[in-house]
Amino acid sequence: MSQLHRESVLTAIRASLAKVVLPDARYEPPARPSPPTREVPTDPADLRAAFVAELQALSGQVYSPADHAEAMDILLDVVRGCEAEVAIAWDEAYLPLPGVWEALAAAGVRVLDSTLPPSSDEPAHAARLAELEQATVGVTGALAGLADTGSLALPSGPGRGRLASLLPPVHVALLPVARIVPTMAAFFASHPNVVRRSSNLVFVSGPSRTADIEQTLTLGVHGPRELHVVLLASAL
Amino acid sequence: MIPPRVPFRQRAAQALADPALRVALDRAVDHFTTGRARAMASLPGADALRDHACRVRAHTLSRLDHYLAQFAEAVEAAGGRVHWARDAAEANQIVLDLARSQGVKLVVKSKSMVSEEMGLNHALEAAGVEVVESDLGEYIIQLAGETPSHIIAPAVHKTKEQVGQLLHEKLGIPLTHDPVEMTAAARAALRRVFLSADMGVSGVNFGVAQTGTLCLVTNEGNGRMTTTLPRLHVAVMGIERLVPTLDDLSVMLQLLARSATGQKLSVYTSLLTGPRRRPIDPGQPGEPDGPDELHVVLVDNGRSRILGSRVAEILYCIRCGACLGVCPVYRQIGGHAYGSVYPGPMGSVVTPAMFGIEDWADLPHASSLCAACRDVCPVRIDLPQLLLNLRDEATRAGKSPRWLRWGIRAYRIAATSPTRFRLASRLATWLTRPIARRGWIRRLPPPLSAWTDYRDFPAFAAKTFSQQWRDRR
Repeated sequence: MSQLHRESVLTAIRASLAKVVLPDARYEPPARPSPPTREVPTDPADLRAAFVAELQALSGQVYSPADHAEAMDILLDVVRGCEAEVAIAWDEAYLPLPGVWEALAAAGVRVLDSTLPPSSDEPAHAARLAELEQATVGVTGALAGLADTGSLALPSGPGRGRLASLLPPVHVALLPVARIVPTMAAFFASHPNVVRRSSNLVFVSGPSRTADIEQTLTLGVHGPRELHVVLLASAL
Repeated sequence: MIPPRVPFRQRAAQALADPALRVALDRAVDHFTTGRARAMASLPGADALRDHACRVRAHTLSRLDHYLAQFAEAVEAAGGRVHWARDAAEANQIVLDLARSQGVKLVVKSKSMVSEEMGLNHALEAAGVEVVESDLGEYIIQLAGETPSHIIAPAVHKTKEQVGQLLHEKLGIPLTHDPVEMTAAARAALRRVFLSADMGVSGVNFGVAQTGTLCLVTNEGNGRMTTTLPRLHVAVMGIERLVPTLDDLSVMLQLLARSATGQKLSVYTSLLTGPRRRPIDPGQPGEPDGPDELHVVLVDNGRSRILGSRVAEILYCIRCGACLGVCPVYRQIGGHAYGSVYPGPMGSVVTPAMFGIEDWADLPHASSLCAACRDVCPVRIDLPQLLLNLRDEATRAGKSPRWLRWGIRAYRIAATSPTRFRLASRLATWLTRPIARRGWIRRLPPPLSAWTDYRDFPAFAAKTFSQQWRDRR
């Protein structure tokens, strides 16, 4: 049935386009327009500074540890600060800081990956969701940072669940500083296949927020209330 | 959509007489306009980018059949299912059939104007399926049994005192005037819904033709929840909402949030390409979470007809809402007085174009044609011109008031001969002299009272221009 309507919708569109009653000359150029070029910073120090400034303006916390040991301390401080007993984390292979799972476990935190059983197995699915909902903190890596908007690019994939950056009230992201790119356009240019590989790519710009009641800013609606980004000096 | 029984003039008068509405609009609307101005100033070359965005929209629409077919193929190649609906009833039926065939009892929704246009919630509820809105503003108006009054801030017409009272009554929380406490209560209530819903219904901000990607932006995270937790994700989307490539998407995203809320980018910009990926080999891991099925409902509902009309340009619209906040009419009467789910300048074009000028002939007149909307439109839609085109159509359809037609006829008789014009202007001066006070006329008899009920009319000069001209020579 829906395929039948496909032809009918497309035919209606073609009929309208053939009428060309559009008085607008802007319809004329048939070639795809190319965007205006724009000066963007490319120096790594400038990119990093821009990313940090933008993210802080969005109420994100940014840390620049000197080495991996200090990075781990920062992570554990955040975990202790929110009294986390349960955490959701990406698989070790996708975290640019080695030993996260072990360190969290040593700190008395139960670490879960966000694997959900198939929904056909309803009781197991519901039980697992209830378990994941207990998590106070989510730990992820990031594929990139966007300097001009202070955003993180988080792709889904095996070992990289969506729920780690969504369900818990606190999100810690580990980002190698070399992965900061100037803009979203630059990100797509350097990762041309990213949406083919991941069913879900999300750009996260600060903690969850709303202004639906009288335009009063409130943080932490459905997504995390806190976003901590730990910048790592050396890429994995 | 069913047109309101009460005429626009009366609806506007009711809105103007509502003190709480005035408070709510005064408190909120300036945030939008100042935020937008600041955010646009932060974008280097913003005007050139808006020109470009306009060209991208024009290009896409001039090849809509091609891009739509390409998009549908790409969605299916990524494992999604595409459904085509010619009108709202078909679209509702498609969603309803999906819900029925999969035994869905609870649907959670993230904000979608197309679904409002379709009346989807009613259709689902009538079939016994429970629907809960998850955008905070939409949730508030759903609890209140109302419709959105703004396309991106649905509860902008409510004061915090009203929202506090509503949540107190509906959720049983202590009475509060603190938006933070209200938000926490809504979060807790909606968390339970997210965890138990069988189907998530979302709108689509942009579809990327090349990759079959759906782009969805939210600030609260409800869009991510809706498209991640329930096993079924159904996205409803107007057929015009396409961009050719990811590069074009990045152009639109630089403008959308800036124009809408004054942000450089919304907090969550999700790019969804198909459902949760299954493992390629049984031994390998697939994606750990996400919906098992993705359905995209492509909704025409008049759009293909608009494409061939004199207001085709309105299809460029990316639903940012910037034209609402700057419109002097919207700022006074709010969204509900328009009687349509699409209010403000864009709504005054979309509504008659989509649902028929016969029933909505007064909306193109809900504008002073000051062109503030055209100045802020990120894709440079010439909204005042489109409103004029629709006024013209309304007149041709015989929908203009009789007194206006007579008035125009009388004016034509007077204005097409110098002698008659001089006579008429002298007559006007003479007739209004007794009622003019300090250069203003405050009250005129009907039908001219339509003007003086809401604003003063400048008194005619004691000497007409041609008299003054003669005197000076």
